[in-house]
Amino acid sequence: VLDESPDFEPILRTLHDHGVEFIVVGGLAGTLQGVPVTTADVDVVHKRNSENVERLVSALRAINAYYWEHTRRRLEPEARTLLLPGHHLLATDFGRLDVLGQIGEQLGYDDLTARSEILEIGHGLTVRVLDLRTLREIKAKLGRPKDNMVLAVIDRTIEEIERLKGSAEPHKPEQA
Amino acid sequence: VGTLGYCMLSFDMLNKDRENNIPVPEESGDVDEGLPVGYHAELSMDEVDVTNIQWMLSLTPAQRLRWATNTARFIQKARRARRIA
Repeated sequence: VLDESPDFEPILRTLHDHGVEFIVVGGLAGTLQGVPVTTADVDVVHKRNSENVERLVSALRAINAYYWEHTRRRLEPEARTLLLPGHHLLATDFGRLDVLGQIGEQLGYDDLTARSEILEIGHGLTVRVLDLRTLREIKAKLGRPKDNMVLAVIDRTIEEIERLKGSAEPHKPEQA
Repeated sequence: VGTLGYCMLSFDMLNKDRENNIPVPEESGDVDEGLPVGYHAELSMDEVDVTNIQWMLSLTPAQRLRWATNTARFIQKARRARRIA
């Protein structure tokens, strides 16, 4: 699995083209909004209703997704488990994809839509991404050293975006 | 952050992806995912160099996505090299 060369665009495009409702979270959400932070995979939170999960299963099949942690036999994601709030750590033809039922303090797709923005990537691809303030909040609560390292960079990025926009609502970073 | 390794993917060390004019990492020290570019410790806001941020904000979302892919590939190579070592 780790020998697959990551390519994030086809992962997002496949989900989009199958009509999956999802929000990009994690490091990629930051990068897409201008935070210079590295990431090795795509993290998404999906809407957990049966229609969307069926579309998700179909999309995951199209990119040959399977659980990379299961080394004894190839285990593919199923609708039954994707309806649950757990985390699904998958390998695909285009690199790693974490499909998350919830993040932070049990926040699912419906909780996060109001805290996300729609980004137009181009060539018909649009994706919903977690907004930077929420991304910061979640990373601060995780409190891992690598998350803490990113907080000031997110703060500075928000500040810079507001400066560029001439925003009237200055960002006030919370303590980690 | 000793056990984490640190990220030295500074923009100064990056080549250009010829097709897309997006920087790609060429060489670095330890690199791992989830780390801010060019830093190796927890930072205060005053310590953050805004140059990298301004550069990233100057890109389109498609270019940022490409940059993320390039860095992910680099991380993978670095991990593989560490495994072999």
